[in-house]
Amino acid sequence: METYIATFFTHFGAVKFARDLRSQGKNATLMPVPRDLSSSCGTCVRFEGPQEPIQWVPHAPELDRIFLCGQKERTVIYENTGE
Amino acid sequence: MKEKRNLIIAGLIIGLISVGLVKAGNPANMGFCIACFLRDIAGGVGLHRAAIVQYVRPEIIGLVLGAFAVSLVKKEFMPRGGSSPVLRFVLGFIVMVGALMFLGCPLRMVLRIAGGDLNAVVGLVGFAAGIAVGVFFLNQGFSLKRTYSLPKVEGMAFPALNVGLLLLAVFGTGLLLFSESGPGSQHAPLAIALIAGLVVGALAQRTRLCMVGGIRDLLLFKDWTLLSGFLAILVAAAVGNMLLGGFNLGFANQPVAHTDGLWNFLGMATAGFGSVLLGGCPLRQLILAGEGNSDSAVAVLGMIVGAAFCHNFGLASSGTGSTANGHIAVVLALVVLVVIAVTNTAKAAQNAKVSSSQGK
Repeated sequence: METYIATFFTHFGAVKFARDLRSQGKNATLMPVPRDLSSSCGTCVRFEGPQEPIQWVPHAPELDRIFLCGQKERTVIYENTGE
Repeated sequence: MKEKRNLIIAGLIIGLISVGLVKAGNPANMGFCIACFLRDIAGGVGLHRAAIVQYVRPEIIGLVLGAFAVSLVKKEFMPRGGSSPVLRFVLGFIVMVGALMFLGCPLRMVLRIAGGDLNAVVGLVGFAAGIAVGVFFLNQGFSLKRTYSLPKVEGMAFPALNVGLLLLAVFGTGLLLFSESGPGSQHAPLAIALIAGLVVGALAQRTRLCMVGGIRDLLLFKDWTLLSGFLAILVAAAVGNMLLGGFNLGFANQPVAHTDGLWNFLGMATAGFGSVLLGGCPLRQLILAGEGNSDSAVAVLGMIVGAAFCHNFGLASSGTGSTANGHIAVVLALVVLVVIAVTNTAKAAQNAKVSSSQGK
C-alpha cells in the first residue's frame, strides 16, 4: 500500500475526487497543499492505495498532479498536461 | 512544522517592516495596504481625481517584482490563466469596493488592529463572516474553472508593466499626479519603499502568506499554518507600535479610519467573500500575478479600476465616515457576489455530474 497526494486546479475538483475515492472504500483526506509541492495554496487530497494510481483513481478532469509520498521525498508520478 | 516556522518568521519581519515604513513616512497603520496603495496608483496615473490619494506606491511594484524574481530563481514562475478572467475582473472590482468602505485591505486590517484601532476588529469579524459564506459556496461546488498553461510572454506582461511604472516613477514624474496633502502625500522615500516591497514580495511568495487562505484553511481543515503568518505580523507590528509610540487603543480618532461599525463590518464581509471566490486576498493576487498568473493580474486590474470608480463616484469612505453612495455600492456588490457564487456553483456541480458519467 502506497501513500499519494493529488493536487487540483480547483477546490471543488479535490472535494469531488476525495468523495469518489471514499465511495470506492479508500482512505482519502482533504488538506491544504503542502508548500514543498506547490506555490499554490489550494486544496489537495492525501490517499492510500496500490501502485499505478492513475489506473484506478476516479476520472477527474480537474486533477493537476499526483505525487508518490516516500519516506523523505515526494515524486511526481502523474501530471495533467491536457490543454 | 517547518512551513509554519517559516510563516511566523516571515510574518514577524513583515510586521516590523510595516512599522518601519510608517516611521519612514507612510500614513499611520499603513506600512502596507494593498487596497489603499492600488487606489493611490490609480490616482497617480490619473484614473481618478481625488487629490489627496494620488501617488505611485513603490511598495506595490516591489511586491510584484520581488515575487517575480524569487519565483524565477526557484523555478516556480508558471504563466497560467484562462479561468473566468472577466468574472475575476469583476470580483477584483468588488473586493476594492468593500475594502475602500472599510479603508484597508486584510493586511492593513491586521496593521490597524496592531495599532490599537478597534474598528478593525469589527472589520475582522465581518471579514471572517464573508469568508465563511465563501467557504460555504466552495463546499457546494463553486468553481471559476481550471487554469491553463500560457506562453511565457503572457506571464511576463504584468511584471513588465510594473517595471514600466517604476521607470515612470523615477524618470517621468512630470507625467504623474502627486498628492500635496492627505494620505497620498505621506510616503516613505522611493528606494526604501521599493526595497521593502521587494523583501515582502519575496517572503510572501516563499511562504504563500494569505489572510483569506489562512481563515479559509482554519474553517475548512482546522489548520492554522497560513494564519500563523498574519498572527506574527500582528504581534510584531503591535510590539513595534508600542515601542515607537504608535499604539492608540480605541475606536475614535484612529488614523485613516472611521467608526461606522455596520459599514466596517459589511465592507470587510464583501472583501472576504469576494476574495474567497478569487482564491486569495489582494496581497496574494499581487504575488500570484508576479509568479505569472494572468488571472490574478486581471483581478488586480479589476481592483485598480474599482478604486478609480470608488473615488470618481463617491463610494470610498474617509476619516469622516462612509457615504450613501458607498452603502448602495456595497449592498449591490454583495448581491453580485451571491449571483456569481450561485451561478458558478450550479455550473460546477452540473459539470461534475457530466464528467463523472462520462468517466464511467
